[in-house]
Amino acid sequence: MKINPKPGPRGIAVELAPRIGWIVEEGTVRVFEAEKGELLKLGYPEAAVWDLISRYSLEADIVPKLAVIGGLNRAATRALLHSCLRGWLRSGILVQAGSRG
Amino acid sequence: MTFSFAIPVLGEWLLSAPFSRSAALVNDSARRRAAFAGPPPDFHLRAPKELDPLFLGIIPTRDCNMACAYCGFRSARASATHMDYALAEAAVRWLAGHCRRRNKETLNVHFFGGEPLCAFDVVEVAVHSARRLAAENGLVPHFEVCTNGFLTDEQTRFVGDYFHTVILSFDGRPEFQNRNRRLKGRGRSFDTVARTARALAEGPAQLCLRACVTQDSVARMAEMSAWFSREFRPLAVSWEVLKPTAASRKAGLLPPDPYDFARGFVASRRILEQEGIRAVYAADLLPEPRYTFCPMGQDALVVTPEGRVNACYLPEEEWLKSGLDLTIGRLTPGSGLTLLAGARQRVFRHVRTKPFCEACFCRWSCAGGCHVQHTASGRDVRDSDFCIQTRIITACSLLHKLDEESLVDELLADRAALENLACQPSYLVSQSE
Repeated sequence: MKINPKPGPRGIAVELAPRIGWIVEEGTVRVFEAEKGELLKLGYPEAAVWDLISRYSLEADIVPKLAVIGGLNRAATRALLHSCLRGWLRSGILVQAGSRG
Repeated sequence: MTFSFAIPVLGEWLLSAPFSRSAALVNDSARRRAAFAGPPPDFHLRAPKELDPLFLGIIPTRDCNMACAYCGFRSARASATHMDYALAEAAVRWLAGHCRRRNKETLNVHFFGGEPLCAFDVVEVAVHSARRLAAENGLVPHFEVCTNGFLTDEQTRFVGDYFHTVILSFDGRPEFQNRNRRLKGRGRSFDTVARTARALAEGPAQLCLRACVTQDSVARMAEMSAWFSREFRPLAVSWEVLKPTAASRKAGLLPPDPYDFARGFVASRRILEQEGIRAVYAADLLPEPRYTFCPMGQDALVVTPEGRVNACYLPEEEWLKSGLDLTIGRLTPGSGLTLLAGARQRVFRHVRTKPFCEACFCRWSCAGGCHVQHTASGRDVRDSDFCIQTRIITACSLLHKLDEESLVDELLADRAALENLACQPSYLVSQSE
């Protein structure tokens, strides 16, 4: 297990909220907040969304890979990506890019 | 007492019985009384009826970002084709289905190149697809990658997070790494690769450093072992000797003297083992006897960027040069895996046919070495440099098991004794003189 020291999705207009980290485990990604503990346990395909948005800023870099990983068509893949981002923004795990001050 | 082999060691005889995992150091009179014991009759002499792969190998690309002076993969001329995402997914899907049907626990996927991470996007797709399929099928995923370590920080972080074993090609000190393992365009690779090694060493992946030894570096193996241990804390250090190529000769790189290499390896092993690090020479004695040196002959399936399924990860031109055909099937996203009739059996036949190894005491440990580059059909390899260094290292390993360390020192210091040990026409107990 390893907590990434500097995680953070870039450029899809979101970034990681302060004090959030994650651990890659067998089949899952667990998202933590310092002091509060585990916030999310992501299975697939959401775990792949999490990993891909930590490295890629453009939808065009994410969707073709995620479509194959998730066995989804492009439209469903986009819907999955946007649904994940909306949900994680709502729960405060992600914040609007630039809002961290 | 029954033994298979008798090895002359400084006036005594080292007897070895690989199938009962025993050894003894005896005088000549005892050696003459020893009876011969060969392999048990059921020791993997034919291909299992059903395919049972040791692992699935994926070659995302043959392309490489480096231009190593001794590269046997000819990276400069390698195809830059990247595997389709759909093919990578189909490969791990086939494996997951196979593992589920065979009640296997582990989904074992290895990545080879070129430099596999030159097709980083393919690796991402394959790893995440495999993790998803493993979760759906109740399997434990296990990922291994062979890499040159010239990676971005993001790639290194991904490998550290998702891979269980990393075989990192790293020739050691800057004067060797920068000379032997250059970037395309002749840039130096040491700083980046050392940074990768340090980053991976801090993570949970098992780090194995793989160093190629040349005539110039062989005398530094012991010193570099201490340095590897201190700087990178790997799980293992694997020492390989330079395999001469036209490019390596042009670069002025020569293989080490096999006697010097054997001495260097034994010295390295002592240093690394003190630190709890495994020293690996791929042809060395193992706890169990083996009939093949490598995954070939263990049903490993290696999928190329174009969808061919091979028994070996080496480039096709290498086998063709040796008169071999190691393609065993084809994989497509639509149809899955199709095996060629008789191809597996052909590979097994090649693996077990080692006419020049039958009287060698390393027959069931080194098992003939690389089936393509060393013991391809009809090639007489007796007393090759590979055989010489392998026999010395194997004999030292047997003596190590017998706690005869002072005899190892005495032997390694005596060139005539080493030559006598390494160049016998037969080691069979019944024929040794």
